[in-house]
Amino acid sequence: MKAFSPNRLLLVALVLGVALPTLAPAAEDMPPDLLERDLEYLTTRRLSTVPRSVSVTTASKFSQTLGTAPASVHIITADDIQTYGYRTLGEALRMLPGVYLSNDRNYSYLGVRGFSRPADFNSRVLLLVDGERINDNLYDSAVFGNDVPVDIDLIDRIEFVPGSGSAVYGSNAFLGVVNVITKHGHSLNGTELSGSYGSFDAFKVRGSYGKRFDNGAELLLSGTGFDWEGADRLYYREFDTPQQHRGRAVGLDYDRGQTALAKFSYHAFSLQAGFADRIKGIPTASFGQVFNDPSAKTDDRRVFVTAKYNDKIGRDWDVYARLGYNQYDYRGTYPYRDTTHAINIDQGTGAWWGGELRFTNTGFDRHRLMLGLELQDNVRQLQRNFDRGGPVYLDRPYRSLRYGFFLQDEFRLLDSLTLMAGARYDHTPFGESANPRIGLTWRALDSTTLKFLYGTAFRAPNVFELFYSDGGITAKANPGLRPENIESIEFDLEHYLTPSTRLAAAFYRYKLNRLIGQVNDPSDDLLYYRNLSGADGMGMELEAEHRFADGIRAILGYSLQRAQDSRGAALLNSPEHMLKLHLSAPLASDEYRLGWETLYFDQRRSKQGKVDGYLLSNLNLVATPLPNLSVSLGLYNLWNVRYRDPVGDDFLQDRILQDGRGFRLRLTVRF
Amino acid sequence: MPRLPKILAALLGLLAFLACGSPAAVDATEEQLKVAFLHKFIQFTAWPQLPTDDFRICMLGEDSLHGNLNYLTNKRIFQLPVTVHYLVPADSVASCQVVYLNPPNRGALQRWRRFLANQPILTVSDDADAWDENVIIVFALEPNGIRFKANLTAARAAGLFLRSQMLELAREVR
Repeated sequence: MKAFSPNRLLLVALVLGVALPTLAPAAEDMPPDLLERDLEYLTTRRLSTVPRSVSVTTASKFSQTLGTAPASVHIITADDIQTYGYRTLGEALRMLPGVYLSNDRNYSYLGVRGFSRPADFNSRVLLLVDGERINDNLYDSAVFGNDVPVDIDLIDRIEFVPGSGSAVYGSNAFLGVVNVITKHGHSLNGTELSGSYGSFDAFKVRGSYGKRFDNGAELLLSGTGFDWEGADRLYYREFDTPQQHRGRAVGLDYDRGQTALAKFSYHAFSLQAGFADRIKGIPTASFGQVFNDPSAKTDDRRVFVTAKYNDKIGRDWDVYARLGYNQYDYRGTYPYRDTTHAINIDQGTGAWWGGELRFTNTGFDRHRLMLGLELQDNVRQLQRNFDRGGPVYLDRPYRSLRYGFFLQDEFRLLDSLTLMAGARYDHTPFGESANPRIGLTWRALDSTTLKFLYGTAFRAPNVFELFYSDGGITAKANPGLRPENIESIEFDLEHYLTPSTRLAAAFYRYKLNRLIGQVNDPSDDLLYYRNLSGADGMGMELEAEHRFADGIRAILGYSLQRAQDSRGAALLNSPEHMLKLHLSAPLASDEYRLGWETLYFDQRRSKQGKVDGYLLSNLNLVATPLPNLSVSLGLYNLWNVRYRDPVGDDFLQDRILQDGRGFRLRLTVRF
Repeated sequence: MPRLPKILAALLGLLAFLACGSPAAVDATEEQLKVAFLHKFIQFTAWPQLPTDDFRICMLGEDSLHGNLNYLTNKRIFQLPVTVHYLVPADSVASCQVVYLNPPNRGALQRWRRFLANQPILTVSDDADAWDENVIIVFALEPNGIRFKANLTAARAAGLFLRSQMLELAREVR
C-alpha cells in the first residue's frame, strides 16, 4: 500500500473519469448493420446517449417521465446489477448519490442524505416490492441484505425516490422510498439456473422459470438458497480476556437462508407471493450477550401475498386496487450469563392485511387527478421475551388499524411547466398526521430541467418503540411516544451538455422534529425510546454521466451532507463527503463487460470518537461466451481496506470491522 | 499485501486497454435505435391493404427522431420504396402507413388519436401518455436501452395484424 495509496488511486480514477470524455465523441451516423439486426438484438442494445424520457412510477404512483417527477428519482437497472456484480439490494443502492450503507454483522442499514442512526432498524426508508410495503408492523424495519424477499437477480429495476414521501405513501416514507420492481415471466422466457461461490465460503444457488403464454398470461417462479459462512474468526479487543476466548468470535458470522418469489398476471389482474427466511449468527455479543457463544443468532422470516387489479374504466378513469397479506416473524436467540447460563428468546410476530384503492382521472384538460385510500389492519403485533425454560419478561399482544387518504394533481400549467400538488391524511392509533407535497418542474430549455420541491413526512412510533420491555433487564417501554416528522425543501437541476453527457445537481435542506431515538435513562440505566428534540440537515448531490459510442459509460458523483442535532453536533454515522465513480466498458467485444466501482465515504462520528473515511473499489467482469451461458467474476474491496462502521448503544464496541478483499464467481445457464 | 501491486498493474493495464482499444460494437443513439425498432415493427405488421406506389412513414409533431427516419428512405418494405414525410397536412395523414406521434401535450395527442382512430395506420410513440391513449406501439425507455409495449386491441381496431415474433419481445401486451 505504499506506492499506491487509496488517495492516489482515486486521483487516477478521477483523471480517467475526466479525461475519457474527450477521447471519443459520440458517433453521429447510424451504426452499420443496425437496420438489419433482429428485434431481439435491438432490445438488448445499450445507448450511446442518455435518454430523457425514461418513465418512473414510484414518485407519484403513476407513470411519469423522470423530468416531470416531483423528486430527483434514481434508477438502478438489472443491467447495472449484472455489470457491477451487486450481491445485495444494499450494495446496489449504495451506488446512488447521497446513499451509504452500514453493517453491524447482523443487519444492513441504509443511510440517506446523512441520516442513519445506529440502533434504528431502517424505519425511515419505505421499502416496496412491486408496490407492496415490506416494512414490518413491529419495528417498521426495511431490509437491504440477504433478508430481502426477492433474489437480487430477479430485480428488473430499483427506483429510489429521496425526500419526504408521506404525501403519497404515509408513514415511513420519511427519508426516501425504495421500490424494487421485479422481472416479468417473459424476461426469463424459460428456465434459468444460477450458482455462485465466493470468499468466506459464500454459496448461493437459484432456479427460476418464467414464461408468457399465448393468451398473454405471465408466470414466474423462482427459489434461492444461500449459505454464507462469513469470516471464520473475528477479533474484538473489548472482549480480549482469557474467559472470553481472547476476544475471538469463531464461526459466528454465518448468513443462511432461502428466498422464493412467484408471480402470475393475466390482463389487468396479477397475483404475487414472496418469501424470505434468513438466519444470521451474531459474532459481536450485542445486547450484552455472552461473547463467542454459538447459540447467538437472529432468524427473520417474511412472507407476502398480493393481488392487484389495474385497469382503465371508460375513457378517463384508471383504477388500481391492491389487497395483500403479510407476515413477519423474528426470533432472536441471545445467550446470557448472570448466575447461570441462560438463553433468552426475543420474539416478534407480526401479521397484517394491507389494501389500497386508487382512482386516476385524466378527463380534465391538463390535469391528472389521483384519489387514493390505503388501509392496514395489523391483526397481530405480538412481542415476546422469555428465557428458555425460564421466566417470561414480555408477552404483549397488540392489534391496530391505520388508514390514510390522499389526493394529488399533476397540473400542466404550460407544456414545459408542471405542478404536482398533493396531500395525505393518515390516522394511526398513536397519532395522526397530514402531509402536503408541492413539486414544480420546469423544462427551461430542451436540455435543461429545473425542479423545486417541498414536502413533509411523518413516522408513527411503532409497537416496539412504544411497548418493548424485557422486564427491566436492558430496556423499558414508553407508551407516550408521539409521531416524528420531517420537513424538506429541495432544488434540482439537470442539464444535458451533449446528448451523451448529463449533469445533475440536487440541493436540499431538511428539518426533523420530535425524532424518536433510543436513549439511556440514567436513573435506572435502562434503554428506552423517546421523542428527542430534533435534527436538521442540508447538502448537495452532484452527478456527471457520459456515454461513448464504443460502449464505455462513466458516472461520477459527489455528495456533501451536513446533518446535526439540535445542539449543532454532527449526527452519529453521518459522512460529510461521498465520492462515487462508476465505469463500465465492453472488453474487445460485447460479450465481455467490465464494471468498476470506486466509492469514497468520509469519516463518521461514532459513540466514542470517529471512524475513518474509506475507499472501496469493486471490480466485476461479466462474460457471455454463449447466448445461454453467462459467467461473472467479482472482486470486492480490491485494496483490502480495513474500514469500520459505527454501532449503537446496544454494542459494547464503538465500531465494527467490515469485510476485507473478497471475490465471487457466478455461473448462470438458461434453457 | 504482496499481491496488491500485481492486481493493480493488471487493473491499470486493463484500463489502458479500455481507453485505447477499439471494442467491436458501436452503441447507437436513442433516435437511431428507435428508427431501427420502427423498421422491424413494420416488418412484423400486416396491413389489410398496401399502397401501390410508396410506403409512407409520417411524423406528426416536431421531429423527435432528429432526421434519423431518413435512414429508412428508399429502403424497400413489402417491395415498396419507403418515403418519409414531415409536417403532414391533416387531410393526407390517412395515406400514411405508419405515423410517429410526438405531441406537445396530452390534449394534442387525444385529438390526433381521435383523428387516426380505426384507420389502418400503425401508430408509434414514446410519449408518456401514449400508452393510456391507445397508441399501438409505445417505446418504454430504460436508462440504458429501449423496450416497447404493444396494444393488440388498438391494432385490431385499426385492422392491423401484429406478428407473434414481435409480441414475444414486448415488455407488455395489452
